[in-house]
Amino acid sequence: MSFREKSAWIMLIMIVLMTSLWTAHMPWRPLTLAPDPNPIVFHGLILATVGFVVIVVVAHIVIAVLAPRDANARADERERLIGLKATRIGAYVYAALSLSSIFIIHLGANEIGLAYFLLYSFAIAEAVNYAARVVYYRRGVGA
Amino acid sequence: MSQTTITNSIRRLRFERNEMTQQDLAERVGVTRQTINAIELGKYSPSLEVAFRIAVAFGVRLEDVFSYDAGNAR
Repeated sequence: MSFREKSAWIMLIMIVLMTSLWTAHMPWRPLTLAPDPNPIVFHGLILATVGFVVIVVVAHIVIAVLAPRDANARADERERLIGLKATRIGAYVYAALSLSSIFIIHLGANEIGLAYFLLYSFAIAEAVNYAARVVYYRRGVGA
Repeated sequence: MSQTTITNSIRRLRFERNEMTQQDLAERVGVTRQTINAIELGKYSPSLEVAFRIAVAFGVRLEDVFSYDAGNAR
């Protein structure tokens, strides 16, 4: 498994894990359309973000130390193609979800609900992006 | 699996060259070992430039490495 495939697995697992953990520890239902401001949720978001960055950086250092030649190699044409195709899929998902935010406003969402909807949209789009990379690395990628 | 209509003889050519490893070939071509493996298994069709570099690495013509199955082409 190449460094970039390992990296894609790390990012996918961490995005799903940290988003799920943050959601699970919210004191109220996260998909409420009109939540009240709650500092606990905001602090949890900061903790989840910092935790995400720290764990991702450490994990990348570990896989780079285990296979330094792989880690230092420049992305070749197949890896660049996988990155481009997966990013495109993720961008479509983010565009569709963020544009659909207009509907949740009409369903009664307030500004906090809208902000969290956009945050979840970003997390889902990035998870799809990295899941697509993993699939392309595992199953192959066409032109 | 996204198999291509392009087949190749990379495995045989490596065998004929004293079991050249995928890593050796990858270094000569300038791609990762995983990309050589993907090409060998038909999971990825390389660019024309990389295809030529593989042929040069083996010291053979391009058509000795790759062949195109027009019957299976859509």
